[in-house]
Amino acid sequence: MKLVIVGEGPKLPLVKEKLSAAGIDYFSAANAQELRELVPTLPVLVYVPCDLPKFVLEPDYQKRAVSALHANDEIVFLMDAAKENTPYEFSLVFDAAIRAARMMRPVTVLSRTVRGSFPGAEHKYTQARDAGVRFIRYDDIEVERSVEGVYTVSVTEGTDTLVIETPCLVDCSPGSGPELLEIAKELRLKVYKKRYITNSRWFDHNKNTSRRNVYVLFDSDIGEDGDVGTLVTNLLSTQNRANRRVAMVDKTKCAFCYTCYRICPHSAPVPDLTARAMLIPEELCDSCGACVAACPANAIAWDEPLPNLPDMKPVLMLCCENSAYVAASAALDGLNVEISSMPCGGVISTMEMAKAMGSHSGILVAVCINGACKHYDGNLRAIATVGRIKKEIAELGLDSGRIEVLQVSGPMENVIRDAVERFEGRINE
Amino acid sequence: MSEKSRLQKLFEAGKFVVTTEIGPPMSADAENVRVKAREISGKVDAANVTDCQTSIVRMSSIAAAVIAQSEGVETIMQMTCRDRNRIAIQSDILGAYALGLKNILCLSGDHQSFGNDPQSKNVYDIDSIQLTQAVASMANEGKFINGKSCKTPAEFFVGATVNPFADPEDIQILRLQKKINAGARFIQTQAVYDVDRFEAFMEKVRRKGLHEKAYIQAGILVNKSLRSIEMTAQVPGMAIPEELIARMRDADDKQAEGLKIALELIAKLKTIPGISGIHIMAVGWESIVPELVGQAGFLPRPEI
Amino acid sequence: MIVAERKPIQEIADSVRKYEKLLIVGCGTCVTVSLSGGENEAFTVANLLSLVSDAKFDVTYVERQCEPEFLEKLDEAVSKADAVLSLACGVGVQFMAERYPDKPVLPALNTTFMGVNRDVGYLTEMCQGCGNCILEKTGGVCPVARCSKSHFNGPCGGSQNGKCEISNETDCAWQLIYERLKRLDQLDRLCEIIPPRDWRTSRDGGPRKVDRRDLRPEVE
Repeated sequence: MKLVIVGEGPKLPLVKEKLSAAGIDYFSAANAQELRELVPTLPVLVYVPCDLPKFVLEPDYQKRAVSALHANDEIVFLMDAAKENTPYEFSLVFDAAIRAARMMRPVTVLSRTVRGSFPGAEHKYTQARDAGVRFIRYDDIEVERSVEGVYTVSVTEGTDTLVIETPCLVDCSPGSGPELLEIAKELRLKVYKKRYITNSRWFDHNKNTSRRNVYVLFDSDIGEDGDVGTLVTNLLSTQNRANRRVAMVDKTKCAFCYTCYRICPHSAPVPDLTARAMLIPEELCDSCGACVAACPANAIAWDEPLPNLPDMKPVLMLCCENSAYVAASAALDGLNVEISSMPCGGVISTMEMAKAMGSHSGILVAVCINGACKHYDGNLRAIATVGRIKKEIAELGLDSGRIEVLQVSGPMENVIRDAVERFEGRINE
Repeated sequence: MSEKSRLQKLFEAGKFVVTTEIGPPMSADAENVRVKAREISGKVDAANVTDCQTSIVRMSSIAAAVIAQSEGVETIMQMTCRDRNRIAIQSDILGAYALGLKNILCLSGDHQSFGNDPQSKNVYDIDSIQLTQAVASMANEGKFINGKSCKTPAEFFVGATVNPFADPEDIQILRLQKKINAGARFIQTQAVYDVDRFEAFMEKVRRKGLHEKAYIQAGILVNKSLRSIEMTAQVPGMAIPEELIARMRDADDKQAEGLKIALELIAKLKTIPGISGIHIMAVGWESIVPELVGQAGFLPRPEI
Repeated sequence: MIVAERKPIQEIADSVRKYEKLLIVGCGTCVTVSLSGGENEAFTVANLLSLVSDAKFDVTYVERQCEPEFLEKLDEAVSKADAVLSLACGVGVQFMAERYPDKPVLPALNTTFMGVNRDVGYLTEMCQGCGNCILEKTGGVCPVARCSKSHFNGPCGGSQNGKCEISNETDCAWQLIYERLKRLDQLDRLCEIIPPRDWRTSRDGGPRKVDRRDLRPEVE
């Protein structure tokens, strides 16, 4: 088994030792150019060192710092990019919060999402609550620091605003560091808020990045007794999913316009300069279909064609297989609706939808709710495409209400049933 | 060499020059121009006659200027590059001079998207600096743009504009220098509200000695209402301190306040070294000009 | 690249109404890349028109409608159609019309400008094909195409905060020129008065042609 390893950090030698021990052949890319060329052929492991503040990582330092505070001084832990904080980091912050609370100080943890449900963090979350730690979720934050060093933190959720004054603000939302961001750029990984390598939006493994075949390895995975070898072996073996469609480029039709390259949420397309056409390596394709819909030259197709859209029933419902299809298959028994699953909302194209409008009296496109798209923006693409079709058919003097978009998640059976009934009623009018 | 314009003579005699503007009507009404001219006759040294300003179709600046001059007001004909190519521009220059106009102000012109005919095609065969150079070289060397000689050339006293408040800031001083190098003898500035910023600009002008190569008139805009000053503030390239807008907002008598602000600005501007005159723009409130000029102590206007 | 935008579908529908067999032809180069006239869009147009018409729509594409050899491939299909709807730029539409004198060739696009892809579906004008490039003097930013008034000697008085007076979504070309020259330490170039342009090289001199005799020697 071979892989490329990138990233710098104190535990890197240990990682390499463990990889060797597990019989994994690793090497580094000589430069950025080589790294780019290697991605499609070899898996890449990005080592991400932990860079939480001393206050969290060193209990002795924390003890001294807390002792220096007044009894009523609040200690505030800020996890401003909780989406991208790892469970390991959560667990370290929880530990620090518990320690501070046990020193009889008021303690607050601020984060964009309170995730108490990570394996390993769950128990600590409960312990922290028992110790009196206050957890606050927020949408917006503003921090001001006075000349005396007192921070005024205002957090807002919805219409509620809470203001906390603290001399001890522990920022636990470290960025990925300039070197890591450089690597992320080379590897064309999605980066959150220009600071963090974004995790995969799918829940099969939190080591996945936005790009297939590129994985992150955190300090927490290493430890003294961490079995890096098995972890990496497992990671690499998950990549070959059987029976999935992949997008393929017809080189003779490709206009080499880079549209797929720019829109692919998984950075799968790579330019083939010899053929002067784009190439989508099978191992990098995540089967979302955004490129199939967007290719202006119609040069990208699935390796095995999708079945023709059924047209037996007047209303066609196109459901994202990750959300709406789960809800629809259970909820729509008995309704006169043709349900068809699609890999992602991003797969629908104006071309196909215009065709389907000819064979159905109504089309309902059901995609994931905001922020839940496995492929990052497929739901938003679907909404935009439906918007365009509505505009086009309205211009032609047709009823633009014949096509609608709906955002649901897997458990929203009632929502989907209501929506379909309403839509059917509207179509039958 | 024919006789110099009154404006040129006043500048050369070191008089502090006061000019204003006549906006031609959106009609063929000559009387309208005559009335406006009579109102300011004897109160200012010369009046700009605008060339379809804000890209709205109006009586041509040449025709309106000729009418105004028949009422005894010397004019500064404005000429933009928006609507004519070099053939039409030079033809108009010859005609205007033949009709007795002697001062010209060279401008690029507001883009047509501001006016009532945003659908129109613009020309911009030449830009305002090339226009300045063309008019100057006809006056000084008797040459057309194509280099051929003109037997009886138009010998205009050439003016140009500068906007000290437009961006990029550094380039505006350079543009001024270019316009002067191209042959501009007098310069009218965009309306000044921010005196500090203007002072800083004039400091640069003086450092380069530009005030010695051309006569610089500071622009003043008199606002009649809160709406007027707010609209002015939205014009691209216009800088109005919030404090002045607030003063208009709080004033009970907006007209009195507008006049007061203009008088204060004039008092400050006329003391700035390198300033040779004031150019008053009273868009929509032309009737205030005589009073403003009087209260500013500019009357009577000098004879030459 | 030549950038185009598809005409409103209603306008296309009106223009093809009287034909029963329509050949819809995409163009595989510039307008494919500018996302307006590729095969994908050709099918989209056909599918949309089918919603309001019983006419027969055949869809095809060629690499470039501005080359005779590529058009040759269309001869047979065109002969069977009542009319051709071309998704090429104005060049392709005209070249088709020239080749098929007996067939109406209708445009499905509005040819807009020569420009660049800044992002997917976001394209901006860069060049006007004026026939006499002065980018060397202006730091690589074209005042002819990118200044609303095609000024050659610096910005007008309407430039503010780097934006043009016509809209705050339009960059002031002279701001960009200034920044570039400043970076390149060539601000002195701005002092030169650029004289009035010779527009004969532009479209003002009449339709232009390139005639490279060196590439086509005349054989006796």
